[in-house]
Amino acid sequence: MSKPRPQTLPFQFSRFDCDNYLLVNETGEYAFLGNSDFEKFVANELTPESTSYHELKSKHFLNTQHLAETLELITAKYRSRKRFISNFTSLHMLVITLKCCNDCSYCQVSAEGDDAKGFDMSPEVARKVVDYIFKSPSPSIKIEFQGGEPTLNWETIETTVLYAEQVNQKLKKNLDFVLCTNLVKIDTHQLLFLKEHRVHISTSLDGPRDIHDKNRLFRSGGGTYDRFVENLQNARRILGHDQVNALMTTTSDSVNRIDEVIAEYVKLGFGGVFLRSLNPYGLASIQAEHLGYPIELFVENFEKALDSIVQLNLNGTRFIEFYTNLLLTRILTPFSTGFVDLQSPSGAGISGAIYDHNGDVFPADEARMLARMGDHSFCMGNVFKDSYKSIFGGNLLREIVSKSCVEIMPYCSSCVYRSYCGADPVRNYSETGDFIGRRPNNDFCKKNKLIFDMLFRKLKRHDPDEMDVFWSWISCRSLDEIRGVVA
Amino acid sequence: MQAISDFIYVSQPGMANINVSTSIYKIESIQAATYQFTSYYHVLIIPNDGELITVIFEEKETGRDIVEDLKNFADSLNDYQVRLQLDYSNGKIRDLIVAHAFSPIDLKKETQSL
Repeated sequence: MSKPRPQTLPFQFSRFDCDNYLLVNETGEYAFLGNSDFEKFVANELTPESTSYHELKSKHFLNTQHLAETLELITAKYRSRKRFISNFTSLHMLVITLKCCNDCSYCQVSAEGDDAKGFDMSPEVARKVVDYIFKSPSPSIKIEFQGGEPTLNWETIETTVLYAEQVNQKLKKNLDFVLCTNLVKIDTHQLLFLKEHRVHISTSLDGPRDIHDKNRLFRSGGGTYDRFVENLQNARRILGHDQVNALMTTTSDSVNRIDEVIAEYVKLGFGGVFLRSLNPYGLASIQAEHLGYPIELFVENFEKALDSIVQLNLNGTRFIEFYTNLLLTRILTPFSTGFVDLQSPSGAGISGAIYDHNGDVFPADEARMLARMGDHSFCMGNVFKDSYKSIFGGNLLREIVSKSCVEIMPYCSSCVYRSYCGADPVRNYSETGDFIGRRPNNDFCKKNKLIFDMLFRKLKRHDPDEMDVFWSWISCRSLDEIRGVVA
Repeated sequence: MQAISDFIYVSQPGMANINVSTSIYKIESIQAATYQFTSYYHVLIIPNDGELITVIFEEKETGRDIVEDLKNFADSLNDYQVRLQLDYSNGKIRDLIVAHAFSPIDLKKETQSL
């Protein structure tokens, strides 16, 4: 009796280079196959004599016996990667005010002047929002204060923190607070409150003074860099060094100077950087001609920057590129990673939600920005008019979810990177008028595909030093620990 | 000896078509393969005589190498046909993985019917 033929298990593939195919399966395992082995594999003619055969079997690309048991293993991994779905909404962003003391050229929310009226979230709205937040089944709740510049409506921040802590005394969820602030107006009294209530700070730093001051300006005129640095030091002194993180936005002024941005982050003592491209919302969209750049240029410079960051680590300075860390965690580990901007189904609404100053609820910050530009298509409801169930179980959110699964979206469904990637229905809508959007030529798809291509070239090359650095990031351990160096 | 370019008919600069046999390539593969070229081309798929389908490409902006792009289309067509064949053989397994992940089913029973 002849042995049964191996069963090919589901996977995606692409021609990686002239000689190799890249294969990725549902659990995120990957393999490179030479052209000849690939042709044999898809024809079900690969034999155990081939070294590829055993790699493919161990990574669940093919199965030889006990299919049900193999599928149990695959399913467990798949479920782990999709854990964020069952947790439901954990990130809740509150637009504390639309007022802002800055007048940034790429402002995505078209903020109002710092003396404008009618753009503050009242304490009453904030308490109602908190009541809705705690209806989420998620065991972890992160409340993020956004703006405008939220510190300009300090009373509501205090009210929200104190009320959320009070509600949580009974529910005992893992409760975190993050204040997104430009740091230019924050004072010691406020910082002491943040320390007492363990509120982290997320701020913005675009690079060295001239880059930062090019786009991040006071409404009254002049750059904000000096004030930022002064208050950064004060915040770290009071809250602790690691309680303040920063984000950068790449513009045409910095896209060719990313090394200088990294140097600035290192100089100011940050443990890493998230190299972010410009998003097409608000003023950034209107001023795209001046602020924008080809996405290919961004990725080209992203790769150069990543190489210099790896070298920095090898020279003894631990410094992480956070987007790379996120993607490599998805590629090299079976764990679920929370990043609402790159999930399938999209994290919009089911992982994160944003509450506008008047209590309107949106699935994502970008959706709220669209509303600021006059398009309320993504408004899921209002905390005073609609029930939690109708907001978070309503037709709009169901439609967003059903149209943001890369597994069934045109072009994405056959993409080799889809196990690691995600959809952005809000951005798709803003670019094309529908949630599904059009690929492959939109910048979201191009950027992520190019970055995945670049990372897989590195994984294929498997440079030991570079891989040590990557593993040190993913595993949150030092380079010495990764290398087994005992102190 | 025939070359792929022998099957590509460039009617005028920026406009070309290629005939595809439906006895080899399924319409799903042809549609999926054309989709990724729609950023640069207007594409129309029309039935031809018998088993042939004609795919017409018209450049949206000048500057593309249309013959090279149609050769890449041919590669893409083969890839999508392989994907379709793989889906025939293991698409149900993918469905079982997703179903079992979110609402456990009897995998032993389900796999017996594959």
